[in-house]
Amino acid sequence: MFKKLLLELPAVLLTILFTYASISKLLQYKTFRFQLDQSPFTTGYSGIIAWSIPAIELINTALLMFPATRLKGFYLSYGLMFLFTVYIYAILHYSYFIPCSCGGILSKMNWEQHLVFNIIFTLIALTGIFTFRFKTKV
Amino acid sequence: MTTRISIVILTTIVVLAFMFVIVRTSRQAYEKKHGFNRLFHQEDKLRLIKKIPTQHPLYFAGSDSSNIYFHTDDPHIVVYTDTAFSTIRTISLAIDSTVNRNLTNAFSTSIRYPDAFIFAYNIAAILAYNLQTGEHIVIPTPSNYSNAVQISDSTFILKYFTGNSTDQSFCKLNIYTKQLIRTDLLTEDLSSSGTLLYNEQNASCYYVHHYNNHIAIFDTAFRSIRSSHSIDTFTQSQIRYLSKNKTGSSDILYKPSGSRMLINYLSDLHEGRLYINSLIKADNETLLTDQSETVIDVYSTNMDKYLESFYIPVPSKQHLKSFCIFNRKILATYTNHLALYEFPGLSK
Repeated sequence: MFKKLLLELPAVLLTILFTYASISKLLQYKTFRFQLDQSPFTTGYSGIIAWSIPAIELINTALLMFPATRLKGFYLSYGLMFLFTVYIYAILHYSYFIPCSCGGILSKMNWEQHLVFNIIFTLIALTGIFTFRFKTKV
Repeated sequence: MTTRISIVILTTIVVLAFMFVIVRTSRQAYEKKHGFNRLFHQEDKLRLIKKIPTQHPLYFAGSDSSNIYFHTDDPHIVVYTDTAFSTIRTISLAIDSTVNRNLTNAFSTSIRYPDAFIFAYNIAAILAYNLQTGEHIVIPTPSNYSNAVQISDSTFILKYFTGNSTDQSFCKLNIYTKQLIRTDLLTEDLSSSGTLLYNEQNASCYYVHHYNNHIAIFDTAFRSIRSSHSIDTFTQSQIRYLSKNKTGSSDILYKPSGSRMLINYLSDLHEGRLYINSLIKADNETLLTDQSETVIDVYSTNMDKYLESFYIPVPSKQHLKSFCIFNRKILATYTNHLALYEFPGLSK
């Protein structure tokens, strides 16, 4: 029982994260769009990104919720979390100026804390990929 | 398992390639040759006198003979230190939580002790605090605004939103008499952001554009003294705006559209010199790309002459947040510390 719960944990954590992240971005759409406008990497594409990121996060939440699509959800989670991690690393190391942070609870973190947070969730997504087991038909 | 490893590796490669393209594209505009050179007379780097770690990024907010004041990203918190930088102290301002929410990302603080003025750009007000007594008042401004500078104990010059096709203009507000003087004397396009400075020596204001190399100089009666530019070649604004009407309102809303490029970022005035932190690499420079230093261009305040340039160090993983020059020293604030450098002055 405990082992089963442990195996479900990556999906649960990632579902909570992406549900929260997508809804907070949509609820604070203007702030999120403003922050994307401020970013040296996304300023030219902020209109598309402001909608597509929460949309992809919601799709990912749906994929993670159902066992049949969960592995795809883990792959997408890994892709997104790794992308966000590399983005923050690039902001810290290759940007001429650092824009403000994101909204919601995550806004309490600075960029370095955010980087660590993203690395942890990238590892959780990887754990999900490599521990996920399809149910076999009896 | 092999399939999963392959997909993870493929995803990793795709993400890294995507981010490489994004970062490369964003830097390309800065790294190419721009057709101008800088003069560097000082061989040696600035000598670090003192470095003090800080919990939050600090932004220079004012100084007097005994203290230097800073604001943080949190409008509640004002930080100050003595001029010897022996201790850092914090003052907490009582700000209503509703007001505080509206200040996020849109305020700056100016301190002329014992008065602290919070420029609340999006709530059309200046919040004035007496740091000795704790008393505070809210001073309404004619509309939302994007820059403000104090020119006397009672008077401020604001760059405010006009609500008409001119988008933004300057006005002068006396916070005690409430006298407001608007102007249409300055016809410069003020729709993009910049830094507004006041030079007490010649009682004139300097508006340094962020996205092009224009510098407007005008007196406190809004008479244009000179329209000048920095040494780079960016005469046209490196930002495009979409303007559209807000739903249910006649206000014109300007939103950035497409990519943009910061030209002149931070600025400071000191003893007849205008110091501008430019983000544009000159053709005789290679150092900007590794971000270990950032360049400061120095001009005479009547803008008839570019004098020379020097570098302020930018330590690894840090960004320059603000700088000011005083008593042959340069104070620079970074992401998590502030640093005091010896400033030998200019070569001439």
